[in-house]
Amino acid sequence: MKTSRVPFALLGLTLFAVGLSAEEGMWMPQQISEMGAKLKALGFQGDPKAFGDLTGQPMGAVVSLGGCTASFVSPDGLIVTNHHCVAGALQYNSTPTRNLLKDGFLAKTRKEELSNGPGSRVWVTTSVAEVTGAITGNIDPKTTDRERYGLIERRIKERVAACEKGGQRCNVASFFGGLKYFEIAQMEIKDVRLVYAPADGIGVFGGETDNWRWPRQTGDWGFVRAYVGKDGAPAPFSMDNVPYQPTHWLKIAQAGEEPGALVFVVGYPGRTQRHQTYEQVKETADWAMPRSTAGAGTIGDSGAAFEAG
Amino acid sequence: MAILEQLSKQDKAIAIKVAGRILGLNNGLTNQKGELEGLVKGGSLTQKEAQEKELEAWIAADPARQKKYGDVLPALRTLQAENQKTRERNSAVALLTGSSSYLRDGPKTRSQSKAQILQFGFL
Repeated sequence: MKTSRVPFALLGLTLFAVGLSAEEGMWMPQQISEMGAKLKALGFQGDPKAFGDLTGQPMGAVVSLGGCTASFVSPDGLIVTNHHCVAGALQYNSTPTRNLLKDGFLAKTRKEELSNGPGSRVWVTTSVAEVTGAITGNIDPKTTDRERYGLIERRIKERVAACEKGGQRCNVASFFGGLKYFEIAQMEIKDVRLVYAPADGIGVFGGETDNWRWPRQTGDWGFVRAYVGKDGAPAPFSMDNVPYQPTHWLKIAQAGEEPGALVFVVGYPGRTQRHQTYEQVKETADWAMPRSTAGAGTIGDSGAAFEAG
Repeated sequence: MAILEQLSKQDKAIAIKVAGRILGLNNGLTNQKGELEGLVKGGSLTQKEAQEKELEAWIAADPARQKKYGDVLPALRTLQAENQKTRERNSAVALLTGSSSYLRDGPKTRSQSKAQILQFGFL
């Protein structure tokens, strides 16, 4: 399913505490801002409002690679992401005699960094605005479903076209099944280079046997760097490009976490079917999922449809 | 996946080209199998059923609530039944466009995949 950079920036909050039942869920960042009292009770000491500011600290440091979430971790455009998210870059730079997928890669200097290929992108969110009124407002109640669908699609396209005139890339995304719409503008960085990925014995340790299972011991990381033209604007790969200077980047904690710590995970795209009805979930369990897992292993199967980012 | 794996054995250059795809397919498959197990054996489905019965009882207990929300779940059921009539066909089209990287990433499918997101964009 092509969900690539559709900007569902959601926030999962998980608490593991001894003696307390673990509380967890997935919310839009804007919702977290409204949960101040609850977060305080859970022991959170920062400002909950900061989560609602998608272009501030720390949310502004979180970017999308198109299907993968990643974060700036240095003022010189260094980005950390999951290991499988740099597999494409490793593949692009591999040859039968130099297999980076197997051996990993480390650029010891900036000059040694390798282009991830022309299709590689970093999407930096520059603005987020609710546009529900402009998308679903002023629709005659007598309008048929088909006409309504067409009208909303047209309004979205018009907004996206107007928004993209400034050279940025835009999306209008629906939340809560069309209840709310948000317009998200993003900077599209086109020169992305491979910096570091461990060998597969570390990056894919445990393989499919351990994948999606916890606890999981894997060096599941990879580093890339975003480059832009000398004028600071996105440009295709060129040795003249310079590292992108992000406004925000994450600082890595050196100490590690204690058991029972409050943990937040931020991701693009996030999605949950929590609001589905019983019958909808039942259809997924009885029909959709058995169907897609049974056919897997043969080409053209549904596997590709659920290729997860 | 079987075909891709067999091709990989024949030629190292091909193995490199399809490695990412095999990883992606395996990753998705493991995820789906685990999710299905959680839904059925893990009890999520039973839990959902109980929650929905509780919700229906809560709606039915008060005439004002009955008036406001009473027709929501039945309407959703009707829509779902309608959707089930064409689900095999819809699924086949989604597979054709979704399984092929050429069709999936083509400009024509961009609006289609957006529609899909609109549809499934529950939170």
